[in-house]
Amino acid sequence: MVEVLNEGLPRVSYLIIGDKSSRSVSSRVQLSNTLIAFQAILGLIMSIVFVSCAQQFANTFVPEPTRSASLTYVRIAAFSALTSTVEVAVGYSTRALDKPDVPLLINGVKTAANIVLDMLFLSPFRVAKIKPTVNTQAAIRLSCDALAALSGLTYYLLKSRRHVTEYREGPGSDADTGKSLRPSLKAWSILARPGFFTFIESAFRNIIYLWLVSGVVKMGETYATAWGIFNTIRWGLVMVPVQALEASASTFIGHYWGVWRKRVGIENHRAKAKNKDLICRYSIQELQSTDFIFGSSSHSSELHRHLSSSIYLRTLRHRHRNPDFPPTDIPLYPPLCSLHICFRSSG
Amino acid sequence: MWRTIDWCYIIYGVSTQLSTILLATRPEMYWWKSFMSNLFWDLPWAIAVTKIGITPDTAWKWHGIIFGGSLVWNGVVTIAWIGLWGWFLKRGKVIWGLTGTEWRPALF
Repeated sequence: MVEVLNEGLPRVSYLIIGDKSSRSVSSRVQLSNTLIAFQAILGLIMSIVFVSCAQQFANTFVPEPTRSASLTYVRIAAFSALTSTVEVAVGYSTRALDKPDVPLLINGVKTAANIVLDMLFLSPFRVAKIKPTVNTQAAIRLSCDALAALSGLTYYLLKSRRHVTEYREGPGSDADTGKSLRPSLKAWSILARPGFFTFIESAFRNIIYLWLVSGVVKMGETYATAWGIFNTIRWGLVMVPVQALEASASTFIGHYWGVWRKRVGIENHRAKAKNKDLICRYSIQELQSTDFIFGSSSHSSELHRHLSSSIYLRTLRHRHRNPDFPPTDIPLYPPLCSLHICFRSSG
Repeated sequence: MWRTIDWCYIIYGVSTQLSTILLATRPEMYWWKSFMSNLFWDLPWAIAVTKIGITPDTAWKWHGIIFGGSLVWNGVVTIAWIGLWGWFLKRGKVIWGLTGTEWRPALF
């Protein structure tokens, strides 16, 4: 259920906050702030609901023999709703703002805290003189999540503020000064329109999946455990890299979609795309030169930071030799190219 | 490693990657894609799983059909919707004003 919240509004950040062609830096930061504030409120409400309904949850998703023992566990774990909504909202919006170091910090802090706390409280050579139970583990998990979410949020706030200040000091941003960065209802309504679709998508998918899983759990403890282990292994092996790639691909696609929409006109709702727009047949250098379309060079340096320095240098050299580059007719919706860039930047 | 439904996860990876195109450009098409893929596979099985009486002997077979099949079917649907997405864009079909600042009701 928290997954539905996390996949509702935050997933539109690629489309909305990632659109750096038609939106100013401060409006994108304002949208991010709105997203995070809204998600945090929803997460808090969810946590309270979970704590009060712990019994019913245990009845549905835990097999009979272990049910009573897991009630406290469910209660402690309930607060992960709040930490996870904050964490996910910060993660999505910062990726769309081209600040992937924020989600990296979140996960880094979480892992480091987990190692330290596990050593102190759970390991065979633990310092704390207690008998660790499954609830100790839940408490440790919750404190790791809370610490990660808090540090991520702080880092994001510092970083976005500096980003806006830098942008406002730069050229061509006069109209941008004095714009509020506070969460607003207007910003929320911009997010909410596409967010409606991502929300119902996730809700429908998860309801059916939970229905299916509860059918599986009813078959008994052995099968439920085997199934759980199978899923955990697959999750680690397959889904983590897939989702990492998905996040960076979505970011680039969001940027390129924004560029294409600006090129055809944002109000042009019947724009036709050419084959060249859809399937990229352009060299990486040509793609790199999109800062002509992005406007100022301070914007494009963000994009470049994602890419390996060799590609970056090659681009600079190329532009130095060809000052008239690029041609005005650059294709700007190349999904396959954005994948290509992801591979390049990670490799 | 390649037992039961492991190979299906390759399709999962590819279709997840492809559906980012829908997610980051037209969320309404992303929703339709996901709806189709769930409605015609997961939903029938969620109903059927209570009726077919799975025993420990047949559990992995059904597991493969239900969860592996879901990934394969999702892949098929995703490819179809990406095709549709490209076709819509080429024909200049209505794009919802989802990226604008004002709400625009659309025909599609």
